[in-house]
Amino acid sequence: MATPEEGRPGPVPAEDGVERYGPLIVRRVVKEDGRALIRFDRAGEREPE
Amino acid sequence: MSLLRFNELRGEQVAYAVDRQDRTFLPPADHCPLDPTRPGGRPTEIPFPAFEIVVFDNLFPSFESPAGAAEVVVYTDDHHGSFGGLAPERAQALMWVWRQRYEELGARGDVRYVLIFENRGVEVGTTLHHPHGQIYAFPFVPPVAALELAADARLGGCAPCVLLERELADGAPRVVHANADTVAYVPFAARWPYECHVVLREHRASLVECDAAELASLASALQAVTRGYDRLFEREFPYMMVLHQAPTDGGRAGHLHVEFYTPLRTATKLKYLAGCEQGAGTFIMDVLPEDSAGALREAIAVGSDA
Repeated sequence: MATPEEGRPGPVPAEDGVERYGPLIVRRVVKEDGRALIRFDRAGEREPE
Repeated sequence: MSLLRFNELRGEQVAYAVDRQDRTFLPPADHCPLDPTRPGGRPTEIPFPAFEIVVFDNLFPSFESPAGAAEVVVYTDDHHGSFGGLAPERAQALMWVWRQRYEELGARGDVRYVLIFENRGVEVGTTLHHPHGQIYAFPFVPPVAALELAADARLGGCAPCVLLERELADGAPRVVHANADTVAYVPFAARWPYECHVVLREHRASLVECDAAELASLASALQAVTRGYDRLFEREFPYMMVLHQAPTDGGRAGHLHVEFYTPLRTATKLKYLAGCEQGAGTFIMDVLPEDSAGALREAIAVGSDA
């Protein structure tokens, strides 16, 4: 399964330290200027509940 | 830095955000700040080569902590896409993103109302063409939300519930689309030529009270309406899409629904908010809601049959 990091958006596998919200994987980033950015990706089908 | 001043004559707050005067204005496609940052390419607001949905603090906020927030919601990394053109799964994911932001922002002590909206088209002030919406977290309950709460009191219950029941009666002449969980209609006293409301059949104060099936139904209905709009005049149809939900200041009622404000009255003519609308607060309309509903219903149905 391709990940967004590989240049193709789509379902992504789970990682440690990320949040889950419903069907979404939630990653929080602080931009260089201090502003918050939240990235939402759909969880992969094989994602454990 | 934004600040509020209270307009005594109108009894309402005015937000001043003078930094917004310098915000990015209709940049060329190859300088879009909402595009992904490609390897070796120009840095944008989003430091990923690809993404599904991203939310970030607005660089030019109308509200900001500790008195609210302003966020940008980017629906896709496809610069030329649109909300209506999103894959159904992506549109459903967006409903969950909106839900998460409403819940998280609404839990803040400085936020009393969360407004999720999209301005589409230069006719309604869009400054970036990349498919995106915005979220304003208000430090007060704004006038329109307060009017809806007053309507609840006037109608003796939840106003959107009462109005939906009325719209479904007598042959539902203004209903333009319906699915398992939502109904879309042009309201009896629409103020815009093709104004449309998408309402949850069951009483839901906010997205947080919706289950997955209802969120999927809502996404489907919103996309059906926006695609119908584009089909109506065979052109990209400008609109303001605004989610109405319960205030987040605790204990107050509300009913989730989405309102579309649409300035086009023909393919080439705009409805302007001029002297009567601005000076008297009374909208003058050129088309009856039943007639605009008929045209919009047909445009949506054509897409459903395709």
